Amino acid sequence: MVHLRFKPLWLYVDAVREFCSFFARATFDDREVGQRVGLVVHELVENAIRYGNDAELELRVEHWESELGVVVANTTTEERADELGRIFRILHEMDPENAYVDAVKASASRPAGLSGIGLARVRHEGRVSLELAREPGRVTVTARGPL
Amino acid sequence: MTGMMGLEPLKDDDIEIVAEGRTVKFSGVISMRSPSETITPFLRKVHDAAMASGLDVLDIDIRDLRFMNSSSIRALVDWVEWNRTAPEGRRYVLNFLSSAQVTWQGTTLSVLRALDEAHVQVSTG
Repeated sequence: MVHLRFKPLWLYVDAVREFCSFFARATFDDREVGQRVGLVVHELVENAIRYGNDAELELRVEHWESELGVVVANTTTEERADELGRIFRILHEMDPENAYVDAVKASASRPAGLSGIGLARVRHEGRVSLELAREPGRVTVTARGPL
Repeated sequence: MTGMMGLEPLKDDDIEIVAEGRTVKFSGVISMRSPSETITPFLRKVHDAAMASGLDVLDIDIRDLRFMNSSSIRALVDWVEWNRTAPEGRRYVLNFLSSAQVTWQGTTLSVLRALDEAHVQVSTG
């Protein structure tokens, strides 16, 4: 459906979210699907920009029969990739709603400016499963959920 | 009990937050990289003004807030926490007015409510 490669700059986040959201809404004639796609795209792209390096970001929005997918890949350090792996393990210890509640509660004690709730939010509000794939120097996050 | 007076609205490229009387109205999109530098201090002023005014209930109208990133949701979490930990008798109810047409609002607000069910209410219109 959508395949974008761009330099991971903050100034693109809103534009990419709005584009993907409107594209999904138009494709499926469904406001709610458009909003969910926009949310998932925003949070995954924001994470990739915050925690990746500045080489390149690849975004795909895909459609398989009754499922939608958002795939975000970016280059990063091994240390950051390890940290992301740890976050994924913790995230999947709970069901989506409780993981989101837990992340929100925990965010209050984080340093100012850090929320740590993005992936939990994506999973619960976006109604998607999340997978992490690693290659040397690169991570790919795939979000899949029902239309 | 006159509500909040003298707070300048917060206006940025895509957002407007206006605190007037017993209502704080959000509109637009909040997706900034560092909300702790703008949104959080503004909400702190609102919170301080609400407590100083002796309000029992503060309506927080987010029906026209189309999107909020997770970094900015943290600012709402802080707000709920400031109120939850305020001295007894100075706390007030944060009554969120949300839109059923904006799907993230329902899920996020139900999670916020879990932080302090006694002082967070959600009304959907």
